[in-house]
Amino acid sequence: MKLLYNLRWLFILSFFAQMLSCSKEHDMPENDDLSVAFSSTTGEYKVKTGKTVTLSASVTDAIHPVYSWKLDGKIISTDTTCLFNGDKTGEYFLTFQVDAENGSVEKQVKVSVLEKLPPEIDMTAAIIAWAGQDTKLTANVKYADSASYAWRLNGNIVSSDSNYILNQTALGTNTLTLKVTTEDGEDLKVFTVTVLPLPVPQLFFDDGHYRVTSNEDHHRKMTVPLGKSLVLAPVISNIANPITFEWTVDGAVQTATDEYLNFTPAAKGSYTITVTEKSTSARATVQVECVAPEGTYFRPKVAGDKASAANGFDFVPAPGQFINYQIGSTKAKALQDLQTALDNTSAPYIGAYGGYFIVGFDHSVNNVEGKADLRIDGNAFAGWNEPGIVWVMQDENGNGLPDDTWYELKGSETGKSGTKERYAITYYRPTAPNSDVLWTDNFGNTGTVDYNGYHSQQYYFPMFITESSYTLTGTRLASTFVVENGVDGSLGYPWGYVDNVGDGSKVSFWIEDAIKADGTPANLKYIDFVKVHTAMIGQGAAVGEISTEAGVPIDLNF
Amino acid sequence: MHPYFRNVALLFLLITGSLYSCRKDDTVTPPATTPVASGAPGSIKGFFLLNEANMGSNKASLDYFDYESGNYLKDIFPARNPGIVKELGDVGNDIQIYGDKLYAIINVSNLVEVMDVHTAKQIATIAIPNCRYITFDKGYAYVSSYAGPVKIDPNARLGYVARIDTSSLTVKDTCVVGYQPEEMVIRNNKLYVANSGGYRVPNYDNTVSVIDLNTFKETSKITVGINLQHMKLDSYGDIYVSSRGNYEDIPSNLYIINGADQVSDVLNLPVSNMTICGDSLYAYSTEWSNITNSNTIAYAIVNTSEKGVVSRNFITDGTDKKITIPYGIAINPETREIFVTDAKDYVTPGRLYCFTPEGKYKWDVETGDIPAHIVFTRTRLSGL
Repeated sequence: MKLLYNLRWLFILSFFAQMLSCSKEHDMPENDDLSVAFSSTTGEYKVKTGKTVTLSASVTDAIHPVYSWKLDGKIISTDTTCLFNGDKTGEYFLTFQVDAENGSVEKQVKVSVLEKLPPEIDMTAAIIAWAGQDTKLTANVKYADSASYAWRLNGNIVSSDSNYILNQTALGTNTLTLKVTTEDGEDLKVFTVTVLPLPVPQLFFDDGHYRVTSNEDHHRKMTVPLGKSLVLAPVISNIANPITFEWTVDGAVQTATDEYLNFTPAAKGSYTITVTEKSTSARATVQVECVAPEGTYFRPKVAGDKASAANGFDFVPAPGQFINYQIGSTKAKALQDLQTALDNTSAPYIGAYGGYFIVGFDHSVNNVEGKADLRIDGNAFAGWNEPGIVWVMQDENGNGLPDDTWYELKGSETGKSGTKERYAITYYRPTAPNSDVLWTDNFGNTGTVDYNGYHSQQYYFPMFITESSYTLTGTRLASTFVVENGVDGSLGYPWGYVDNVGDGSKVSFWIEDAIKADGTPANLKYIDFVKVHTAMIGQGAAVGEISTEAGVPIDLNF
Repeated sequence: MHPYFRNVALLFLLITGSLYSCRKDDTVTPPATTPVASGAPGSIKGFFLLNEANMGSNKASLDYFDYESGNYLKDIFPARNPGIVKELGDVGNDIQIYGDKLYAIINVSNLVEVMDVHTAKQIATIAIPNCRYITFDKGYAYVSSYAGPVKIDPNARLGYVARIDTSSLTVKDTCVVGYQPEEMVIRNNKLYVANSGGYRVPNYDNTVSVIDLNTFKETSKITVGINLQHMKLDSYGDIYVSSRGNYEDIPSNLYIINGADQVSDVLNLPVSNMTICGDSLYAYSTEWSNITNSNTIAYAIVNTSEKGVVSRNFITDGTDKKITIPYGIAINPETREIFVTDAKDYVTPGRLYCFTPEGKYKWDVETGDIPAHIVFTRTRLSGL
């Protein structure tokens, strides 16, 4: 049985491998994929005299490769790793070569053999901890042979081990230092520990706008025209393994038990819909308005209308190096900046993941079958893409405001495992100038948008948000950020995203690509509003964070 | 020199001085002319020497040596540009000639001073923040820039190379490179830039950036050594790049980048400054050690065909003892005369020493503060 089972797997695997290699021949030029990276990102290894260092290369997409490490023309290893003995102080340059059926690559690394090799702490300065929870910190130190450690929290020694278990109950920031000493020297690192409230399991409905403590209890509203159906799905926050959901419509329990509810109201009117995740009892409510049939509020083009989006409705950037709303700035100023940009047929910077603008046309934009309907420029070039996702909305209730239902325009990554729909990121307002912005997401991950040396405004966080944090929701694409030969790049995706070169369709968007929350077609006849948000999280040394740079949406059927 | 001649020269100076003062109310210093050598005509007519002057003193100045008369003219810029109030500015960091124009990089004044090579009269200035070095190719000038304020800063930003159209004298494009980029060379349509990371001490940069000049994009970085500065291309297509080390446990060193963009040789030679003439790379090192708190000075020649040190003292008659702080180095490509400048205490006028190709003393002369960068000219300066 076991044997059979394995054979079946083998068959499946080889089938997949074949499929993959077939599609590769079609999609990608040979050779381009063969690449080499070293375990040392600086391209330099250091070793103390008398010691040995392991040089390690990782090779991707080489077909039947043969490896060689050479020093002064002599082969010293034929593996991807090479043990280098630091016999004599000095600087040595070794060449690593891959010869494969699909090409050859040769790259060099440097080894410095030093008499003394002081420790080097390699850790990021920003630490997030949850109130009352243990956070295990492990000293990540290079050249730490028989090192001694000293961790100090707010000045007091708290650990003399390579590990420190932090457990703070008070919210706020603390200063933690780590000093590592060896016989060759010492290194000191200062960390800022931010203690945040323990994440609680939550469900909420995304209405396309930012979420802060002062508006999170407001009922989210959506619309559906009579005769159409609406797919509802909550944002699932801090629930590791959601199992079953219970949906109710005006108190009546529905048959759906997964995260989607397909709702087709039989009559116009207002419906209160709730969803509860059974294992945590987390619950969210949305008010769905069933409105007049699609087309009732269609606004034909009239004389004097503009092809480009004319009205700004909302603009909430994510933190970023180009974001400059300092203490004292207001949301009204941000909205005015959006309008000013539109008036000049451009659009503002939206910062890191989730940052967005919402704009509207002075007429309805028709969905013309089989052709692109919208144009949104970006500034991507081959090798540097900062993809953003386009959402569209019909003014279903005819009130002229983008308070209806958003539909994502699908792209090449829709439905793929690396793509996270209803991905919510929370950015925390910095408490000191010139500091990194912390974030957490609805999966419990944490990170930072780093302050850098290029842009010297005090805060990259939009300080018009005066609450301690805000949450932005959308669809997240897996990062395509790479560092190749020390140069930052972002390869981007084939199609469907703003500020993304892809296959050449880069600035064109089709309304027929609009999908519901479960990925099924939305079949919109026209749209009135557009939202663009940054879809990727990534950060480079030279370029700062990945941030979609979008132009103003333009009606191609005008 | 006969005292009579010296007096005549002085009198001449006084007269020209008063002539200039007629043109302008401010006193404009005329150049001090010192006869230093007997006249020697040749295709190289002279050289310009850019004095850096101490940072913040705003005293960068330009000297000129004229081979035909053997005269050394100290501080020629003000008299030839009486309308320019601030003169050259703060810290002269590089000087080169391309076509009919003389380009001086004035580091802390954040500008490139473009002059007519015949007259040393200003044609234009090009604003580039914290600019460092200049090189030329196919009608473009390339200027390296720290792109940020003069400041030690662990978060100092990456620098860039600006591409300047030498006909319109405007910046056309910039390309981000490593941290605090310094000297550059061009080989096979690629620009190589030595990144120092000097503002990020102790986390120096250790790379050379490679820029494709067709696309003007950085295509790769070559790991070489920390705190890179000078870069020269030899006649065999090898690039020599010097590392300043960290002034403590990592010494200054000299590396060779071969035609395959790989480091092929580590010469284990400390280098403060260098120049290549024929098959000889002349280098001196003034290595300051924070450990010994002293300078160690050496004058070496590397043979570029053998890629090895062939001399440890190219000044052969003991004159090197008189040079306190060697700062600039140049070789006349025609006569092979060796020029070494002495920055002395950095805040008073320095000296320029001329040696025969064999390293014997020929003459010396007082210069501006921190004499540093020399460019030879085949066009004789007018009005001499």
